[in-house]
Amino acid sequence: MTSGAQVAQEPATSTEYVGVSVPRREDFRFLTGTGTFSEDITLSGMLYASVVRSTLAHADIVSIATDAARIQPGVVAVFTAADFGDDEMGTIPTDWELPIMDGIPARYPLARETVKYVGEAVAVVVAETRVQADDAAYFVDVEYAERPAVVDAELATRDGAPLVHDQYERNTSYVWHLGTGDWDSMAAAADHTVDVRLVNQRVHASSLEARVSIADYQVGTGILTLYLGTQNVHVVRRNLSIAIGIPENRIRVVTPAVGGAFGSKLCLYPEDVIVSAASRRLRRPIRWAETRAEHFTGTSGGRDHIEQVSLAADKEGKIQALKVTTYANLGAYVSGMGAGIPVVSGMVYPGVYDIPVADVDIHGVYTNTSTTETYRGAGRPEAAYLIERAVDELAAKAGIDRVELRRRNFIQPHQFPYSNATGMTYDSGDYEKALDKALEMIGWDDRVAEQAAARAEGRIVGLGLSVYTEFCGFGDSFQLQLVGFDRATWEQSVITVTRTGSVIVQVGIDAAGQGHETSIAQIVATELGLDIDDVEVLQGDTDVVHFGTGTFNSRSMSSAGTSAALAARKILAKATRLAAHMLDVETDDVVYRDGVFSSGPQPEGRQVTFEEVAVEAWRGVDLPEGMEPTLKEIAVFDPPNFTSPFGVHVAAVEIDPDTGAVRIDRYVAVDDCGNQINPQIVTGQIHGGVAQGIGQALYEELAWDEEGQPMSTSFMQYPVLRAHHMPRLETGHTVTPSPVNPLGVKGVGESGAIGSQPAVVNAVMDAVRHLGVDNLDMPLTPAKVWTALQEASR
Amino acid sequence: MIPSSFAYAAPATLRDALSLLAEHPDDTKVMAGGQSLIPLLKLRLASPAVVVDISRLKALGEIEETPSAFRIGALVTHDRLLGDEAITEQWSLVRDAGEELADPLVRNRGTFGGSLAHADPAGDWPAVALAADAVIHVQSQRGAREIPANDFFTYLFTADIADDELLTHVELAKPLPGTVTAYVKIDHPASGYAVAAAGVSLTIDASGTCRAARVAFTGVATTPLRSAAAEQTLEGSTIDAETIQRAVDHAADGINVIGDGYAPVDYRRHLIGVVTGRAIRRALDRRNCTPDNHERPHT
Repeated sequence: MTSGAQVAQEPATSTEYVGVSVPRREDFRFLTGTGTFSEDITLSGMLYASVVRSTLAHADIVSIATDAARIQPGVVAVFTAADFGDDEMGTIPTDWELPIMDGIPARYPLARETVKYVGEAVAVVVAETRVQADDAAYFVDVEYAERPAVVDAELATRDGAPLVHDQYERNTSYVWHLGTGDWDSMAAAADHTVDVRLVNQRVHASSLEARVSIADYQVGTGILTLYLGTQNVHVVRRNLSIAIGIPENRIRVVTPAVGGAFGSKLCLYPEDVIVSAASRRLRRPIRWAETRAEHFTGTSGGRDHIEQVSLAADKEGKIQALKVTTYANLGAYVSGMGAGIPVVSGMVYPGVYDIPVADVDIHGVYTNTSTTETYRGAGRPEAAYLIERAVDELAAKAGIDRVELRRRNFIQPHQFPYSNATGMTYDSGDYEKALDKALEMIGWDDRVAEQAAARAEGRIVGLGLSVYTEFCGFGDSFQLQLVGFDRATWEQSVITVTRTGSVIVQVGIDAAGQGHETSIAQIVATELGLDIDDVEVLQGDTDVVHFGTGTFNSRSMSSAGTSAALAARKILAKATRLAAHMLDVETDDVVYRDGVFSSGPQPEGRQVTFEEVAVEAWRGVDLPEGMEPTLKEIAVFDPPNFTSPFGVHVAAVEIDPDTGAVRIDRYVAVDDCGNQINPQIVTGQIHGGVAQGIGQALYEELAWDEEGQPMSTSFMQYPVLRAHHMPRLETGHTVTPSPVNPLGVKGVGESGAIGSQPAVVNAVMDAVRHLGVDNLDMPLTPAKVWTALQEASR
Repeated sequence: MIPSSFAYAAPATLRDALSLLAEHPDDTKVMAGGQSLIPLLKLRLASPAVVVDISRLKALGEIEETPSAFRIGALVTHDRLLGDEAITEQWSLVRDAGEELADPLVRNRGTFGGSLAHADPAGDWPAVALAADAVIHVQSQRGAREIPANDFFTYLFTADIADDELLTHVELAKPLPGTVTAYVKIDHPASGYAVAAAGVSLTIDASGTCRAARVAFTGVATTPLRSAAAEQTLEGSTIDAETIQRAVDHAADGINVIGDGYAPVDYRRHLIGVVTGRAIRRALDRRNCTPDNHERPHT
């Protein structure tokens, strides 16, 4: 299936691993069932928790009867919110409170007076076995007084809509304005305007492994250990500390292997706090493991934006101005980074185009649904979809070729760093290069000709493209704190060289399948000139790595990769100084290559090996003046700005006129993530991202009915892409190194999910527009496409 | 999730199995391959007091061929049936449906009989059984009964089997000379179940006239069912483009079509016509292919 992955080639020198497709060291354990996931952890004396959840989308809790559950076999305790004070189980903090928000609605791990979405936790049963806990949970009787519910973000802003939170006068949490210039005057003077309403539906990451939380409070030490699958152990540590009042230095958070996360495992969840508080109360370890139904109803999904977008352009199709009104569904509460995602989405609404004027209003809205959060792309897929759909509409309306129209509007390479009209600075880009490559790979002109012939036969075929840019590696901590971002932007790495010359790298990121252990080892082995097998990468345990910000926003290579390289350079500088001392030469005269320090050009000079230097550093007996023993260094890298990956995706589709089913015949993805550490991992990330993007474009939707009852609670209803739904991907790359970090890397984890939905939907729109269909919203299910074709032909 | 607790019995003989069913007529579930029942138990959509596992009844695991019919035991797996060349050569729609049914893991464990008894309104085998005029044999301590497929599926997940009865085998008569069959399914992208599927059996004489037609659907109503309107359109006619179109146009007549978020009623009604036309054409394509050319005498 893959065309871009390259087999490892013999590098120039034996320790030049960067840029080489080193096989992932993680894969053996993941593919052979020898990895340890959270639910594989069983502690002595462990109890099991089962959570009782709201069956209504909005209701007052009249009473909770737990007596019948308490007497069930094996039950140790049944807790409700009434059993814990704020000091033991306080509200869940968020990581991103926009300064214009009127506070954050209190979210208690166990609901107090009201429930605000189906699936909200109201009680927890703790028993000796999982089965006993699940059985007893049926005996918890919650009496509700139902209230009207609202699930649609736009409807929730209307007068008379049911209020999700009584303390606010409206469901709108904030309206954030972005942009510069005057839309009205630009629109009045424009030769062409288009106006499109788009729905970017709620989707769910649906990771293979659902969530698991195991809390172990040790009364002897007062230390709480929490094992869970998360993308950021340190953020969990901080937020858990706030929620349960145990200081951070007495909390240990461990994330073992994680079976997929995609942004859904970034925030602290109610169950993490519930098992922690319950373990402290009962003085026994407690495990809670989510069911798939709980995962669909309780774990945060992503997207769910309704957007009205307008473009104004001159005669040649040069876009003069952009206007957008967005209703973003936050869900019932503010989860983790949930409030900020719609705003940063707005910051890239202009996409790859040099648009001088923008007028953007983002409405963040509460509804009686589960919370929205980061999901692969988090704001950039919405933005790319918005601008790329609108640009295609403009091209169609203005009668200008859509490729040509894009070229006329591209930000040009000499304009970088480029600040767009919504306040985002792009570090670099060369869109024409990627566009030319993608068009060549698919044979665009030939495909257009074929399409004309196919249409003459009555076939419904379409070609679509998207050109995107995005932002990765959360940078510029000052700017981000102005918008209320309450996470660090830096990343730290600690490198320790052992007595025998092997290397331990501790990084503050937490992989959920991305291959960090391999790619970070590639960077460090290359920097240190060592065999990659001598480098071990540790992550995911706050007792092993004391600081970190975690894995999200495709930041792991640009932040942790860079800090690891910088720490390695410190190690090498110290080792070189010690080697010079050992060789009795000046430091500047030492030549280092592939694990060997020489007093001059190899092979003539005298030599000491890296290992011999490590021994000397460890012994600490004969060191240069002022040098401390050991080779151990820390580096913290705070990126000065975001990186700006970009790319071009092209899809060719055919629609079955009888059923409306969309088939993707060709799919080309050209992505530029700057320098690549491991090309095979890069290609793999593109494949996974494209799969999730196609999933959103054609299949997936996490929906609720009008009463707020979830429509998808299992894989029987929610169509995660299967292998046979996936087209063969043709991948290619251009390389435009980032100027904001010394490795020149940008990030690639989300790109595939950003470029793909607009490419696929634009291809379908291209197929049906000339038949009279003027808009379609994702997912493009067969029924939806067929119905639109029927209506158009009437 | 984990099922609520239940008593489990795995009788070694049919007599013991029937005796268990007679003892616990209420609240008992029979398990063959477990591919439908176990998920229901885990989701606690079914919480029987007793599960009677019939997998040790080896006698029910055989396919017997007689001069006129195939007797398919209740424990014959999907995969076993799919691998039976005598059946799939004569009843091509068995191969069509078997290849579309779930995935290899399910096909290795799930059973033909269990699938019919489960009476899923979107199951694949029910449409095959209807199109092939299969006869379902059930047994209890009270005696044995045989039920034509057309009378077997009574409601959502409900078949004409009493609580004390066990489906023992299904009889599939050999097709009449000139019979061609096909099964065409449009599946749901999540569940893989039929959004609409048609099983078609056409018996066409030497003059090209259709002497008998069976058109059965699954996924479209509260039970799998046959289309009287489509069958009447086809029987007695030459199957040309015009006849096929008439069958397509009338295929959904009289059917109370169900709708849902993925396939609303109007769309699903339209799909009934689509799968009808495709299944008829697929069957006709087999008229001149050797495996299905039953005008040749069988030996």
